[in-house]
Amino acid sequence: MDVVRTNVSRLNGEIEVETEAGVGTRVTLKLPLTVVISDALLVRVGEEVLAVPQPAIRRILALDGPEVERVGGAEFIEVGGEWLDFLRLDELLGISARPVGRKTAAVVLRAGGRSLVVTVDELLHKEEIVIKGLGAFLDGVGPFSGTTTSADGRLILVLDPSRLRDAPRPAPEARTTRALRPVGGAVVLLVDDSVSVRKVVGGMLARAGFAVHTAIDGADALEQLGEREVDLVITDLELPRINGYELIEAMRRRPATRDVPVIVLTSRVGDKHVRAVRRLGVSHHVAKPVNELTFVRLVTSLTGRAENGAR
Amino acid sequence: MSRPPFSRDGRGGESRAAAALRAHVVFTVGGVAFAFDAAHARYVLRGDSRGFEASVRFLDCPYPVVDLRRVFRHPAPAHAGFVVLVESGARAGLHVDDLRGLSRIDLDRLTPLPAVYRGPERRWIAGLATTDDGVLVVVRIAELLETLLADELGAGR
Repeated sequence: MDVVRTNVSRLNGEIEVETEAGVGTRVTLKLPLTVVISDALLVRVGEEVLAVPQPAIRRILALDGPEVERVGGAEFIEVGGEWLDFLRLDELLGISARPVGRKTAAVVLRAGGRSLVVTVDELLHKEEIVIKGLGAFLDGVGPFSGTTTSADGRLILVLDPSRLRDAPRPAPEARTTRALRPVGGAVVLLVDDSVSVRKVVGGMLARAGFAVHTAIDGADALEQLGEREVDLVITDLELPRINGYELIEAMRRRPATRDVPVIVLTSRVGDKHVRAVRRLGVSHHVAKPVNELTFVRLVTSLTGRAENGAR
Repeated sequence: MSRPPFSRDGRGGESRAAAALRAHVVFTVGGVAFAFDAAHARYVLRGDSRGFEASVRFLDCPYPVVDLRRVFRHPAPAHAGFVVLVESGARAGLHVDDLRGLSRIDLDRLTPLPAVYRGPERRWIAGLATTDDGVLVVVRIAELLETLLADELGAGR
């Protein structure tokens, strides 16, 4: 279902799942009739102009500040008798905060079956936009689904409400720090027979400052582990020659790699697979596709290099 | 009378009012298209099955060759690619996957990298440009060379 959601999201659509105990589950896919041209609201956040797909917008709010409630690390706001997630877009995107006390606009967005509220500095105008792909460089960077081009030729990123919903909230004490910090060159071995996964996941880790080596299967990984020290292994389960389970077992047998932390990155997320991985002593079972911020944070925490970053 | 598309310093045709419109060399590494000011390009070498030496000479000057796939941590390419000799303060040969030729880029219309992009390469990326073929990552070649020569060549080459 993650794969379906990702692809629906790329088409600026949304997916809703409703389950009623003892009755069944209804899965609703909503897709725009045309996937290339869409109406969008252009907004400004700090110095950045972003496009919000019009079909995802429920309503616009003007905020004066005190309406937001904080519960733990999350913020909520009441809209029409409903408490919704409240996201400060400038903080989420690592953009300099607006001057304190300034009036803020907020956009209520549909994100899957839920709604959320995001703050923006300025509502610019509505525009019909042509949406293009993010391209290899920007793919996986931030909660965006595509790009469009402004009338003067500049690139505008298109917000993806579903990715916004899933993006990790910056902790209050970390709000002025960087969302992704360089990590002082921790070495990661990424094992996957898919060149796309190696490229995309490897790219996001490299951008975060990790030294990434890749292996195409378990045998290749074991060979590399015999030649170099690594701080973390990220592996798929289904691999040619030596699969992910066998790779982890072999690593646990070798003194040099026994204690190297492992993340299993797979589309096999059923209980059977999760239990089998746990039996091998691996507790980090991540479903494809990954959320960049969440995944980089997990890798950072397991490599213990967070404090080496430019905090 | 015909006019050459680019003058010697890489700027657009002389009638072009916007001085920011400059010719850029477009190359790809790992599926990403990059561009740098053509005024800093010196020569292009095509690779063969033997690959490239660690350093090449051009007009009696040494150009240390830097494999950008290795720098960007991509797997080795399926073909030898090209080496673009560049000079901007320092000299280097950039080993790239492919060359797409020249493109005119308006430097006044570059889009800054989104703030959420936190890779250390921010320092040598001037911004993003859009073309009919997609997004171009526009490189500050002097800063890139400085980084490469410090990180890559200083690491025992």
